[in-house]
Amino acid sequence: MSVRRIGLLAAALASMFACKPARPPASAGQAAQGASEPRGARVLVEPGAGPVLELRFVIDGGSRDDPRGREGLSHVMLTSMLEGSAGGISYPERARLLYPMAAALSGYVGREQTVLVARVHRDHVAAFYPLLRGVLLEPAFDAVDVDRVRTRALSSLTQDLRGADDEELGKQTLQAMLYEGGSREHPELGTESGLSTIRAPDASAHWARLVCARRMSVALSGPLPEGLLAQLRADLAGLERSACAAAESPVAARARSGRRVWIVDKPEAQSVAISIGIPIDVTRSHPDHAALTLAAAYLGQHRTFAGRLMQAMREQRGLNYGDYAYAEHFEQDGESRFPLPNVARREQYFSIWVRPVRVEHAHFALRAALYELARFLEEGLSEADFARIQTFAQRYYALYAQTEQQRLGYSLDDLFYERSAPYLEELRATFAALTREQLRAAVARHLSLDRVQIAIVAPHASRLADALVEDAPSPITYSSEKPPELLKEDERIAAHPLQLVREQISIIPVTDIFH
Amino acid sequence: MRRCCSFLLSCALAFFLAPGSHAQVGPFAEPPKVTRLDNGLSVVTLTWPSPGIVAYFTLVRVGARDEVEKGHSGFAHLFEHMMFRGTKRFPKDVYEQRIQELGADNNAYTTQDFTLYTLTGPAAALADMVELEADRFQHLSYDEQTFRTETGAVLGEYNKSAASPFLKMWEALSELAFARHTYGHTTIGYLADVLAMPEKYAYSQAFFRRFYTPDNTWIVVAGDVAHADVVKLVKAHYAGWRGKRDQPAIPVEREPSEGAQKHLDWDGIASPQLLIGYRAPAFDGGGGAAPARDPGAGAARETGVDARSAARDQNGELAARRSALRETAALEVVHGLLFDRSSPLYQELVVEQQLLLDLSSWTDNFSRDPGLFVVHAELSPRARFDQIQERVQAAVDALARGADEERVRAVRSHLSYGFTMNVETASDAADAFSQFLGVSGREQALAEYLAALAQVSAADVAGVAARYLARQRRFSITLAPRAVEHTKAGAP
Repeated sequence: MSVRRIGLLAAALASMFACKPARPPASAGQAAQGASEPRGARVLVEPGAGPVLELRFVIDGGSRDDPRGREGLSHVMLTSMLEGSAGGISYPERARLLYPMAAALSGYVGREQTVLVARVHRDHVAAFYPLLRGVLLEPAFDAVDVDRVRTRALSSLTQDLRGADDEELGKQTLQAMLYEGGSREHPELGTESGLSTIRAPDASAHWARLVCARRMSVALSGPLPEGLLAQLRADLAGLERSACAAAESPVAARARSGRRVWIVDKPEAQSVAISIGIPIDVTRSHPDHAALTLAAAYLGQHRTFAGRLMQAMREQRGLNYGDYAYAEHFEQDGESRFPLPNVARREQYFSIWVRPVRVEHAHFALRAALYELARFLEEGLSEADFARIQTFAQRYYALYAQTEQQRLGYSLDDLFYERSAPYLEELRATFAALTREQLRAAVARHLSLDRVQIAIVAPHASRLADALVEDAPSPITYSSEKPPELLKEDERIAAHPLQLVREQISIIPVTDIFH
Repeated sequence: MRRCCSFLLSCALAFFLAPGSHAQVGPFAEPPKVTRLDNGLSVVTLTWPSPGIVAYFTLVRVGARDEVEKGHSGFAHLFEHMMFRGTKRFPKDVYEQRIQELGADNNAYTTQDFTLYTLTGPAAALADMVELEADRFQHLSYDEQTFRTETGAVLGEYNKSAASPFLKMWEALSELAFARHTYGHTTIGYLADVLAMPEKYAYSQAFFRRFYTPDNTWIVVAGDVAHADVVKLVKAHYAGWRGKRDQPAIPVEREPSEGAQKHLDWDGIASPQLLIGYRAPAFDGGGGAAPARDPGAGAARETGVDARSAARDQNGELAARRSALRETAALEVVHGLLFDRSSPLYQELVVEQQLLLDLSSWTDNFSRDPGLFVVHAELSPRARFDQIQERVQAAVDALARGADEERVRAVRSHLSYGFTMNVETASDAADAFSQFLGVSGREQALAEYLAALAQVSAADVAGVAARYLARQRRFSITLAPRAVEHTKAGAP
């Protein structure tokens, strides 16, 4: 439920490049898969019935590949490709060429994947393709473009992330905790010092390392004119150069720390944002992934009322707008309630998202979330609840891939996670086959409160820190009558021990975070 | 005369043929199928390929616009929340359980003009969905405790949005631009009113009776279902629904004779921003009128009006509407011409001169009553508000003197292809259709709008720029962090 103004004809976000005559196609095959030869780009051609040619490129690499001291470089690189000169054509000229087609040429950078989305109506494929090709193969990385992109990224980090979106700030802070010391620590946007240092030659060199056939997977569907696929394969095969290196394993986070709390001190905040996370060894290629996903659905399926946290915190207590749980890193796809594909990680985390609560309820709300989590870990869920969530998830997940780009994205994530069976189908089938005991066992294997990391964005951070350490009861009052059972439970929640010592709590001024 | 109407309409549609399909309207291969029940409830089915999935949306034409009583802003939105709180037959836990059993995606949103309930699930479960929806739209029932608790969630929604300076800017702009009309407050409402909501249980219940009536409601279905099946189910479950929509007197906003500007200090981190709203016309010229019953569509009935005078009214009405839609479509083209990333203004201000970090405008911001044409700019440190405002106005004024025909065609092409490309799922289709229906009350609105768009000329574009994007119609909000002295435009 939300307020929204009408946003019907979404503007195509595109950066555009001008046409350049296509090179004569090289041999159309992919590189031979000899032991000493790098693999070529992987190309998945999927069936698609609509009038739109959909392409999705995923590069194995993202912000985890930002060189030390140049945090944000992957983001700057991709954005400079999309919003800068390429193939001898300026960004404005490209924009003018692509605009009437309403074609999309956009993308985003994740920790471990960089995504380029290309969508064009069949009427315009021939005119569009050279522009796409230019972005991938011949971005110019002119200093004027890179500097502009960098400046804007710096503003997005220092103004928007720090200043205008406490929920995202909380989530990024959590990730900084979970991945501290490793190459996934910093936000995709980068850090203030990293962005300040980046220059055009850095972006160009990064492209040379990252945008390589051996790191590229492409999925496409829709109307394919004669010869286009061969042209695409040939162009992808051309993405090889001496700077290319196979994707390295991202530097793992240092040994998982015990429980910690980071509070981002934001004096002007009118409410408190909370994100809770537990590092786990489970990704989509792990047999326990489905069980943990079902557990997350039980605790808090994203933006539904199915979850226990949503019921306890919002529905029964009106504490906030929503409370959800996730068994892998999650980003919402636009305004839908479904996840964006291709934000994959090789190191995942289980998390709880508590949407902003009133300042005076923050201590109670944090306890409530941890209380529910602790209860779940100790007691599991009832047979009735298990049956309910099992049926729900099995059916609801049928809605996860309704758009072509989502479908392509899932196929590409299957490559990333080295899965042989299509993810969503297998997930739903596994939901159906799971037993309550199996779910409990999986949860016991992977989730523990010992390693819980808590990120909070709040005003009066030191006051909150003192309260957390003191661990005194933090009761709340309501503007309405509540059932006695709920009030009894409130007493337990209000007294739920956090058992934190001051050393486990760090306070970071909002002006310093991601410096 | 009735023949004449439909002839004109089909001409307009034919002008916009997509290759190979006579009835094609944008992404829709066929016109909507419409049935109106005796109680006024309308059922619309959109043909949309979507195997196994159906979007069963319910559109209620009530929004922030209808919140005429002081101290009661945000109630349409609050009420949207209350619609999920159950009935006697299906108390909220049971309702929620049943939705989960279907594996349905169930949500809603509220705008200034309408509230849309978006239920998407398996086509095989249509009968269950109709039963559940029919029950809550007719028999919603929640106690005061539940109401008070849910106001907490609404406050939570306000709070999560309030982290961004944008909410404050939009609130200030609305107030500045509309001294009388209810567009003067935001859909989520003033914080003071949100904080006072727990005490307004009785008011919320009255809201249901006043606005959740069959004559004010459309069921919009898209996906793997047949109209006849939908109608049969709807008739079985909603036929007993009674009520007539309340018609609060919505204050009419006078045409502006001069614009205004206001500066906001932001306590915290933010880049300086400028939000401009030009007073713009209503989507199809309609104002506070009751939902139009268009005799040209589906199975509507005349209600005791003699055919000839109805026909005369129809012609006048039709001409006025076409003219209004043409202006709306022309303004939509202005958005693309002036503020898209491909526009000269964007390229100058954002790319070349880097005076702005970003520049955008609110496309498809259609409204039932005269609303706003909105432009948003994020300033880089060395830019000044007055400077940016003047650059925007200069671009607008240049357009008012004459638009380039080829560029107008490029925007029209962008809009029509964009529509097709961005309406993909059954939910997208139902949503797109409902938005047009919500601001107009007419099932033909989307088709008529696209037909108008196909005819927009450079002269039309220059005309609306001159008529509506003039200084005396311009309202602006500037915002900057309190510590920064940012040469506020208009400051002494």
